[in-house]
Amino acid sequence: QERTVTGRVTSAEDGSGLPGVNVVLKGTTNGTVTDVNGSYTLKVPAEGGILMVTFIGLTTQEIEIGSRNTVDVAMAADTKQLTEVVVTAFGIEKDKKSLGYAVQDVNGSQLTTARESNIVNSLSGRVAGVQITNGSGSVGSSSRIVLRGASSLTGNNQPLFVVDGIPINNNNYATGIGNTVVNGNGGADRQNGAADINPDDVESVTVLPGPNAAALYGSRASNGVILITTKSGRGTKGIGISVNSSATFERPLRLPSYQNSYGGGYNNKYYRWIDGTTGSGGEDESWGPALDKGLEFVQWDSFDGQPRPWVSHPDNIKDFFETGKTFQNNIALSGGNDKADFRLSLSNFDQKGIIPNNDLKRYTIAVNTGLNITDKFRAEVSANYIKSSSDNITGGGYDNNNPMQQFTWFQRNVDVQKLKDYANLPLAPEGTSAAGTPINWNTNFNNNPYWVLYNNTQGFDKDRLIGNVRLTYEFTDWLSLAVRTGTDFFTDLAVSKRAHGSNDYPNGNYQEIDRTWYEVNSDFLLTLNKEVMTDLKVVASIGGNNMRQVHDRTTAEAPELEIPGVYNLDNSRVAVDVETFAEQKEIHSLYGNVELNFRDYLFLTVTGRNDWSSTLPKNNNSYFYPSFALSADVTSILGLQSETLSYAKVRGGWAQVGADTDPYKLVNVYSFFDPWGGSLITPTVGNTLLNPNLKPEISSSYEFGTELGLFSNKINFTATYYNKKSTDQIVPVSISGASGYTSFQVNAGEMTNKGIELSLSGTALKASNGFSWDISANFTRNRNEVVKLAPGLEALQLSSYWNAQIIAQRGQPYGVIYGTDYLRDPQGNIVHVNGLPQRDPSGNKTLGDANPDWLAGLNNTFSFKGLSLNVLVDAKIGGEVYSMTNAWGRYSGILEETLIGRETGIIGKGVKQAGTDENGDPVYVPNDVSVSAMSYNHAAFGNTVVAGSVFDASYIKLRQVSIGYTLPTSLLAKTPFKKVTFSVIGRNLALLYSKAPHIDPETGFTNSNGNLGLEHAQTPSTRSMGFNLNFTL
Amino acid sequence: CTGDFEEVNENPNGPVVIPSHLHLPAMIEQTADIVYDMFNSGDMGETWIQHWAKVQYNEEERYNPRVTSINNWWDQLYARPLMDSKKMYLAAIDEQNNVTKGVALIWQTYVFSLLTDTFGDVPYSGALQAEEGKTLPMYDKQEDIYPAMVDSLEAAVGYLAGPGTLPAAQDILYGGDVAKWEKFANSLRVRLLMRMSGKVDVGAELQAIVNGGAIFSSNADNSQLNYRETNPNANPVWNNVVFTNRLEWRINETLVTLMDGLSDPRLPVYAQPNDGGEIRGAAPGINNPTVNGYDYANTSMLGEYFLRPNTPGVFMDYAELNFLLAEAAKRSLIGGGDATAASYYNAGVTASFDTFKGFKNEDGSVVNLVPADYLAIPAVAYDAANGLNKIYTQKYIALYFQGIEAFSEWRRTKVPALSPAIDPIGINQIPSRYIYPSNEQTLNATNYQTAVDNMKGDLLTSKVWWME
Repeated sequence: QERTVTGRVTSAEDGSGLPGVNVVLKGTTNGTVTDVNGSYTLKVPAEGGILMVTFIGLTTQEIEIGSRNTVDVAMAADTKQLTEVVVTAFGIEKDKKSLGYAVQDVNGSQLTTARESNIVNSLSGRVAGVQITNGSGSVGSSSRIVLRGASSLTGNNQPLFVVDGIPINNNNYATGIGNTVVNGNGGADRQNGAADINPDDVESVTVLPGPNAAALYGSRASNGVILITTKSGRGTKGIGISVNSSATFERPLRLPSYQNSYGGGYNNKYYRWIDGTTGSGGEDESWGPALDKGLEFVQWDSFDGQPRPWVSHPDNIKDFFETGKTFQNNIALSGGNDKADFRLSLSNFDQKGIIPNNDLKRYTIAVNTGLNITDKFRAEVSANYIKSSSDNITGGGYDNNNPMQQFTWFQRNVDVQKLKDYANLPLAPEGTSAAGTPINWNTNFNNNPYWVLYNNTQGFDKDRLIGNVRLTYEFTDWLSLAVRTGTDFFTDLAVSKRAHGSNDYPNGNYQEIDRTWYEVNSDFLLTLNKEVMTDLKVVASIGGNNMRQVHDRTTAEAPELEIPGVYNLDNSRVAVDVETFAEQKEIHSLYGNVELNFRDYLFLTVTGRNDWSSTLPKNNNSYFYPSFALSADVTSILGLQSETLSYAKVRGGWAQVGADTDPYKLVNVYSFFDPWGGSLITPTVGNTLLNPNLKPEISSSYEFGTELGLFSNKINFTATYYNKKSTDQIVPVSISGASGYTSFQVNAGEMTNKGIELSLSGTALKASNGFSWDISANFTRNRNEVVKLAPGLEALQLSSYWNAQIIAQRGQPYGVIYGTDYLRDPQGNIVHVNGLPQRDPSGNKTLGDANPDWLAGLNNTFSFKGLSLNVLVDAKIGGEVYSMTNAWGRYSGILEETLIGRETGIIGKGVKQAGTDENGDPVYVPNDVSVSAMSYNHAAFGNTVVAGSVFDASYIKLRQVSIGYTLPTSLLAKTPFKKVTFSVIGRNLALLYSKAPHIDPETGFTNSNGNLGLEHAQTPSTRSMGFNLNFTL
Repeated sequence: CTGDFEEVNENPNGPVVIPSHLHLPAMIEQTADIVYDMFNSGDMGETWIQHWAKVQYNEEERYNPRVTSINNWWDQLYARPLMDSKKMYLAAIDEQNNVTKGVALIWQTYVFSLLTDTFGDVPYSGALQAEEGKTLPMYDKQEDIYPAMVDSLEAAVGYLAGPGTLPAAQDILYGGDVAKWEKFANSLRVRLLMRMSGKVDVGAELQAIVNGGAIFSSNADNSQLNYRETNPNANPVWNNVVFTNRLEWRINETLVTLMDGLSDPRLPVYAQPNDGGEIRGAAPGINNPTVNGYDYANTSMLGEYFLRPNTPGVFMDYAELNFLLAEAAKRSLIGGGDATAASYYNAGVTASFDTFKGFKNEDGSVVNLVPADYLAIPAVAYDAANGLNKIYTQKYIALYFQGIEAFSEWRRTKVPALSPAIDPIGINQIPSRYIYPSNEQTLNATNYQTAVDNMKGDLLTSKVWWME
């Protein structure tokens, strides 16, 4: 005997019908889904039975049917955060309770209120275990993200980004002539690939800092995974339209403090402007006569040849920056019923940088649809098409194309407004490096900075498609099969132009880098989900994956141009230099996963994966890696019922991950040096000796932790300890060049990361009048150690900059600053000779560590009725940075502290030698020799001694403040609007604490390993303020 | 399921093996590019022996070398042309082409000589063996390297006899003229033997070479890369100075004084007039030159001849050979005495003058120096009493622009007498060598230490064997 139960599922919040909700008779496969109005009909046995009503994000309800024929259900949001579901591979939802490893979520709405152009930056301070370094304030700069420390000596060390189950490319591809790699010597930084993801389309971001998910995502997950789930139309009530619009305005967060009292030159008595012919005019320092004292000199802008007042322009560099403008608009249309759902979203991102003529544009179309073909058969398609472009992204580093570089050598007597009118300026004379281009304050080293920005541009056009098609079939209620194929495909054309007269390219230059990249992942997953005996449920799955990656690049350069201003390769006056590059790689994988669930309080998960990679030698190309994890809900096991300790989970896990390498690391091939005479090929040996006997890299880690819910889960606390060891790393270790190669590809090295991650969230205050104060805080401490390198190898250089190197040194953390120090007496005082500090001739020393001691974030949200105030502060404490802005700024006399001793001379703090003692050892006495400020600063700073410009890189930043107001529903009742929120937003508002002078210590040339701990003339980071309007129809 | 993996992992970007002659262009061009890198031959060659001086950024000139330049010098020479020459040598053996085998060996020896001359003890017999699994090359003593290099050149000359061929297109040095390679090998042998001559009796071997006659007989035999008019095949000096406008290298006051004293007509070829229309050198290694009287306007740039994209990169020329043989005759290492010495001396000066013959300046004037007039000047004319001094002085002048070789020969002869930089950093004498690359201390520590012990220190002032 059966009967029919009907009913309606509504939102406890507003009473509206909820479509797409699962209604199942408990213990059976008998179930249905609510329709667009939230109504359902289900056949049930004549008597009894329990309805299970489930929906993601809402509290599951179990309702005794009893003898009723109508069962209405009101569902409330699931506030018990510790039992949230987590979406893992194939969209499999897992109860967070069951996971034996740390997982943290960031809701999409947290990313869209106060937005960043790079989604990675939005995670700063929000998640434990995550370190984010935003390189600069340039439009489209890259950000480095590292979870649980760097584990690879030369690999990218950044987590795998996965969008709707499909791994995406997070590389950044530099532009800029002569630079396929951006570093401190030039090139324009580009955004890392994940920045293409539009925050408006993101439902949630899940951070898996540990490697336990590697069985599902493969080797690349050993650095952790950032899972991005895009919004879909599932669960939408009817057709909905949402609109989000924001406008923000950017200014430099911090500029160096310049002195304002002395102008250009090397002599404090007179200034002589030299027009620069025959290479003269190389005076770009600021040790000249006092400003604003009524003096007059012929200067660069004395176009009539007459002396002009020698006056300061205190804001000349500040005035160079424009107000950056960022406009972001998104409109999304979504809908669904029990058969199908969809979401279509259009976005427009338009940014103008603080540097003149810098921009970044992005258009995104996102589609996400699902179709229930039958009750058992569902098809889903999701696709993101992203078109991004820029006309110009300014260059960085020590490069003519970086205006910040010439500001390191700028002069306070220069009126930047006059430079700005470059089109009407006379031309620099023949014989100067700026010849034929508008005159500059110094014609010998730099072109007019405005002229550079409008003429020497590097732009790009990138078209990218990220998408997948997924089919799932449920054979029975306990057995299902999912099949999917997905791709991340892009083409990217980067174009760099140098006009005639550029000081590094007098005859102009033009370069195109044309890149195509794609990765296709095809996989299947067969999943069994069954209660095999009383109290024991099993979820077991086996799957397979085929990954294919193809990368092609053509670089073509017209080294000199015949007709000025025509940027076409055919206009080359010498042979066009063309380089083609192609690589591909393939990985086949099989994997399995078994989860045992005992009474819903004890969970054991065991996984295993075997990969076959094309990049490894035939006999070493197969490798297996297992993991297991255990999770126990202690409160349930012990039957604790306490208000104070409402939930307690302990968990632990161990995972091993094997990894392959890049293509073509086994056999050396000749590369082609510049052709001789345009036609004769010039094959030459490479500098890295490859190794046909490579084997997979192995990293293994364990972690354990606890998750506590206190005071009825009002406060949640999570703690994790992890210990990760990476061995057999495939690295090009440096070897003596005298061996014929400068590096050798080997399996060597071991690196460990140990750390703790703490997070606390909860409601600090909830008043009866509706005021509430929510806090979430996190703390991360990671200790990294390079345990060993290759036999006989003490250090591996990651990069070098002037006399500094960033190295991985045995026994030290990964990435220490290594370089020249002052000569010091046994007590550590600086030794002076003739009043000048000396460089220690005995060689380089470790001068700092680029890694922070700890990181923390504190997020406060205050809500009262429709008002909400959010304040996010984050801190990075410890670690050092080598700042060339400081080094050259002091050398050149432009920074504030170079005023010291201008008139009186400087007696350097330290000692000088006064003969020797009876043993012949030097005797030191306090230095008492006065030298000119210029001589002192030249000797103490600049590039000679690194130690003088290494600073503590700690900072505390007011990362975000937003004030939002949501209009009361009552006000909207008669309008088509469902919800309207207006916010005033600010990002990177203040550097609350910093020890490094003149710079924002959060800095990097790009997001690569070797750019850790180095600073020089980056575009200043920006403070951003504006508005956000969000409404739904 | 991994069947196509080998195909997938086959690198499409370059060949795995190439025939021996295809190694030639990159090997020669890269050698010249390194030798004429302004941060090596300029900063740590021409400025140290005071052919040039810098009016800005002159820390290197003041004996504070840039570590990266030294690292480059070492790594680039070993891991580029030397490794190319080894690959060429091995390919030639496979092809049974004795001619390219000989050429590879000559080139290898030349590049090794650059390394040992600048550093002293360097890896030689144990070098270039990373592919054989030996990544910690032992250092050989310079006193062992030198005889081995001389032997190599002798062996190479033997190989040149064939069988085998040398394709003209790839031979960007001599266009496939094997006889000229033989002359280069023998002339280089003379250079090496003369360098050893203070330590070892080299007379018989020198005499045999001279008697054999297969040595440079005119400037047409010079071993030099004729750079081209445009990049990427332009002279790196032009690239550094003109193309990227780094004009701080000027002629040195010391050289101007010397050449003025000899009324040397090459001076206007060596340097251009300053803003005041005269040739004025910059002081050697003075602190803050522009403040202390030597700036871009009042000192002289290098001469037009040397600042062209196609200025040849000379490895060894006929003038140098003549001065070496003049010295050998004067010191009775070869026969003929002062008469022969005088004849080589005159030929050396003439060859140097002829180098610029017919060069057309931008203003249209054509260089036409008459060596006979110059050689008639008493201060220049060979005389037995001051023979060596005159030979050395003229060689010092003739080696202008060839920074590495000029540095080596000055260290050996110490003529003309030079005072150190005015404001030296760290040491108060002209360096005797380069310090070893910083990488060697970490990457090859044990072997490095052995060499340092043998050299009695890794200092700029440690003497190399042939100097002692």
